[in-house]
Amino acid sequence: MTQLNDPSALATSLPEGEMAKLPVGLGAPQVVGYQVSPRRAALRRFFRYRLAIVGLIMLSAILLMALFAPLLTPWPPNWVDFSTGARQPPDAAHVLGTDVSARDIWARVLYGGRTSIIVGFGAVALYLIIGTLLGLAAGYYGRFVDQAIMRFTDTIMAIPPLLLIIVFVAVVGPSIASVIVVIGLLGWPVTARLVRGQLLVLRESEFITAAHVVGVPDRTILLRHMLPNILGPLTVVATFGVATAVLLESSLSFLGLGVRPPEASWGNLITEAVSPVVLTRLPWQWVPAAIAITTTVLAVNFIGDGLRDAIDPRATKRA
Amino acid sequence: MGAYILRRILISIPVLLGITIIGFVALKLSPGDPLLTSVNPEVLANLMANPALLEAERRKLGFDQPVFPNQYFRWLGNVLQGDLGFSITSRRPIVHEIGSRLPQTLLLMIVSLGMAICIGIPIGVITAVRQYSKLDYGLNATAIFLASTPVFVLALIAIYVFAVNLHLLPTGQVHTVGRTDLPDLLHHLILPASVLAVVNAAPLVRYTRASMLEVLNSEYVTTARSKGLVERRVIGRHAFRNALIPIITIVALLIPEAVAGAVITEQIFAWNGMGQLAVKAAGARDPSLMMGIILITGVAVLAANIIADIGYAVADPRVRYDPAK
Amino acid sequence: MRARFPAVLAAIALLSTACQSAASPSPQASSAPASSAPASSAPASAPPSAPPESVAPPSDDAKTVLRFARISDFLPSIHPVDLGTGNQELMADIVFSTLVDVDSDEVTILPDLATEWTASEDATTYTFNLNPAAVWSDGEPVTVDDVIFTIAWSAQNPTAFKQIPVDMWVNVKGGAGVVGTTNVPEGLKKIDDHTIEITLERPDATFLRRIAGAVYYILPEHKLKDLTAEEALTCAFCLGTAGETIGSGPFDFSESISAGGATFTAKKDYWKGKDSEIDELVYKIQESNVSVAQLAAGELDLVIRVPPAEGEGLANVPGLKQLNVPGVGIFNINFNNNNTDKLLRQAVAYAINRPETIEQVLGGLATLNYTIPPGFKVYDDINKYDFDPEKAKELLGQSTWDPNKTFRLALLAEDPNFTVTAPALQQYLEAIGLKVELTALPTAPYSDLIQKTNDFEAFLSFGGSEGVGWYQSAIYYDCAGLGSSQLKLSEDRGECIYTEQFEAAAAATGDAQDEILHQLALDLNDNLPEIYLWQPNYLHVYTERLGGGFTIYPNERESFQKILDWTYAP
Repeated sequence: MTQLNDPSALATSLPEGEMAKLPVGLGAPQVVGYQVSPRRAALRRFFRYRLAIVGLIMLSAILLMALFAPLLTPWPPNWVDFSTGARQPPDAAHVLGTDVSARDIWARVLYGGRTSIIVGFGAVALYLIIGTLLGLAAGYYGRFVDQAIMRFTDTIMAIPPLLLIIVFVAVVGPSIASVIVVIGLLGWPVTARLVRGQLLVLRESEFITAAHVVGVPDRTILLRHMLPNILGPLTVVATFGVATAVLLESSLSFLGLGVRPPEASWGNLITEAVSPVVLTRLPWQWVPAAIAITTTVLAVNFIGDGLRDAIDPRATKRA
Repeated sequence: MGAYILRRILISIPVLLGITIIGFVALKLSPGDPLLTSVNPEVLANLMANPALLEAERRKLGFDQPVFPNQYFRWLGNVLQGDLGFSITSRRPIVHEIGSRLPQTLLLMIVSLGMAICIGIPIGVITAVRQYSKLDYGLNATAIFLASTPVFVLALIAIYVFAVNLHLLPTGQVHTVGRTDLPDLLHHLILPASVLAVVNAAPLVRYTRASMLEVLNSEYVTTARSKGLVERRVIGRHAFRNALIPIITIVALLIPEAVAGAVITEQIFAWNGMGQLAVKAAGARDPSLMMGIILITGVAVLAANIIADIGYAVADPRVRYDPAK
Repeated sequence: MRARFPAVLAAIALLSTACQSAASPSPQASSAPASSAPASSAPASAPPSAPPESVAPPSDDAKTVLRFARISDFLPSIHPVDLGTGNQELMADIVFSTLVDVDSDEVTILPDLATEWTASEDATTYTFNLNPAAVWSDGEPVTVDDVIFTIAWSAQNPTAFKQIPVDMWVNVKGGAGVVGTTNVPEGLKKIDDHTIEITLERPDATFLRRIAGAVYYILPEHKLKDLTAEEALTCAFCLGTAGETIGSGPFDFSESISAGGATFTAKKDYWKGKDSEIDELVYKIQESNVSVAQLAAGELDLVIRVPPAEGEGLANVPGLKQLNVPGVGIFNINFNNNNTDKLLRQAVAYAINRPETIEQVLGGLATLNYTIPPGFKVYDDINKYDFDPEKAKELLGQSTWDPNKTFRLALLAEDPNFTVTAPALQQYLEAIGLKVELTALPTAPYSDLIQKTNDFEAFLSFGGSEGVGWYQSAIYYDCAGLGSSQLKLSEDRGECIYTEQFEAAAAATGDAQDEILHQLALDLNDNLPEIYLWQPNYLHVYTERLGGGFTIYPNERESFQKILDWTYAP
């Protein structure tokens, strides 16, 4: 799927013929400027760096909270607290109140974070593997293999992602596993393009030519020399991919096509707010989950921005 | 120019076929009797009573043959004759189902994308021109924040503020009950279109900014400046025109994303369009209906890409000679 | 429909104005048309290129229009073969007539097409005198031939009925012999053009009450004479098409049925000698959330079955009244009788603390049910299965249930009735040592699971006698019923052990009937093919302008039977 949060992913998300139309390195940070004093440039780098640090801290906090959820709340996420009752406002026992089924909302937000994180990282890991393998195959073998893989990639990219995911989830039935698999199976094109593009550049580079000359076998060149060189850009794609996957999972769960109801997910916590009375009178039921999603995605985007700045070769050269 | 457009259309056809093949094969894998969704229900009820006839009909429709290519080409043949099959949920022809909802979705998409372009591009230009100013940071931060917030959260907040608290706008639906006039339609359009526009504008701001910066830092802009041209002219005449091409690309890329946003927006605002239909079709596992939706959106997305291509050709005559070759 | 094309044009024009304002590099200016345009300025800001006819707002000065909605279950059809949802039944009552109607006490039989009727003492032969003034929308008179056509067609095509089986028509004497033919059952006897005698195969004292139901409406023979069973699903008449679907009820379709609803216009000089005070009905089929928002905005005059929890938010909307009553639908657990034994089912019944769930999860908006079959009397010797976890554990231990096995409880993910209380049920059942897995699924996979794969121990359901009487719930146990196959529950699916008792009860009257019903209630209460838990409240919200004879029946699906008596103050 297209990663619209990441301007630098654009070059890799275009159909092939159109890449030529883009200025090289579109979206890469513009560090050098005619009007910028070195001090300001440094300030800006620092600012960017700081945001990435902030993002990293935010994400670590969220990860830790999800991981140590049982330590942060005495309530299991599906426990019905009959003594308190449903739809109760926040108090000492239930810091964010209870939901329509008398379950603790804070616990559901914490455990819902696990769902989002598992889907976010799981789906991205899956499509990184698929995308890297296809990209390596296309870039390395070239010719017919390349053409076939790239045409297939174009096709997948022309389909609106959410729509295709809805279709596939309907086929396999909603669950965490199917959401991961479906996002994974549809999300690989960006990775494949990126890997292939990098590989084409690398193939012409001097050290690969040198390796060929001294008789290093193909497979070794591919795995030992080429793959490490594309790890950087892959990390950037993966980071923004996590943001996209978290948003997708929450959308699917919101529509009732993601995680199955008794299980907590940020998306299905917010679904309750389509009821007018919940939306207007019981904000504690949905606002925390909304904040959780936005914070997570924002943190990942900050990290992605920072990583991109750090990894982009032009940025480092000019710095 | 005509030849160029024709070539673009021809290139799109295999992609469209690819989309439908993927969708078709996936839906054939789903459980359920395919016969139910391919036959006119009148005929079907008759068939159900007679197992022998049912088997004959199965053979006649080719359900005993491989899904691909045989069954797929049969479906394709029907589509070319304007027959998309029957919906199992509404028992009506799918052409009818889609036809009654497409105008609402097109309206929502066109208006919201238009608004997104009108908001996103100027803001992107401003932030690039005033790089590192407080305005730049402020707008950029807002854009990142909006890009990180799910559509449904923005929609719920918008309903809460503008419809429930301020009573300015309706909470949803295409029309007030019992009305069909245009002012009423526009009144109902404002909120969903604005939410969708804001969501789509956020990435557009970031792209436009990046693209403008690239051009602003290029040598010919420096030359133009050194020749003593007024800054407004430099930006308007030289920089923006050159930044436009990647921006057109981005707008085209936004379209599949906007379709996804529309699915959720329609659901929350009870906007009677294709997005709502898609969610319904998925819940009811109505394969023919989903196939119809995939086909129509595939066509729409590719058409948008072709229009973008024509846009390049207009913005940059060199493109027509196809620099890729 | 008419507004669509100009609408697209205007939208493009709107766009161009928006773009013009955005051309100045001020972000405030460009965002203005997006979010801050006040409501009243929307028509004013419409560009001059908008077609002139769009300016005129609809005038409803002289016409009284009632706009209403009900929960959203719906099939876009009106022929009895496909009449399965309450919304369709309400529509059928608006457009068609039945032989007799029922009053809001759900007992008193009122005239509709028939002005008089008599029943033989053995409840087998019924005679109806039709109102000679009755006409169809096209002016043709309604005669005994239409009644005979309706009954005969139904008896000839019993398998055509996909939703509610028309048992009363099928049970007409000789009905079974005409299946698949074009013959008229011998139990139908035309005395004259306006008098008919109907003889049943076996006695049935519930006949009159049941044929007041919407699915038994009389069809126009001159319009549907040659209709085949297959065509009944898709013919223009059958789909509720304005101008095509004609009835003898007080309203006509003025806008055909679509997924979004339908519109009706009152007939002038209606044959009952009285015209409806309401000129037009706008019937919306939509999600409850949308209806609630539209009630608050004054767009709807009546919503039947608002989610009860929404009452709080609507309480301070001026001009709205609320009717919060115990509903007739009963929330229940249906067992898969192939996988479960009686002791396990009884254990489940003892395990659930029903009063606590009603109070603490449902906010008190439900009424306790004593695990009796819907519509039955609460006999003294009925086991009420009061909460007793110890007893539940004991029964579970004695049952054949393997405690290591997973107890799969299926529910429909889209219905809050199920999702809200399912976690509570799971918790109670786990407390007695069952390993419960909740399986919440969307409609299609859910019905696959229940009807085909059969891989579940129990599922949550919602149903009852609809306030009509014990005989209405016979379909849940009576395998003769053709519809709702998943509900045909008996000791062993396929073997209908309660059918005889239900038939015997229908044939009997007075004490004899009560004795049969008492025994049947005890049997069902002990065997527990399904456990009845509670009746969620129904909340109906309506404008105070509705008056006259306006009432919502306990079985809210029948509320429109007396719509001629309703008034609507301007």
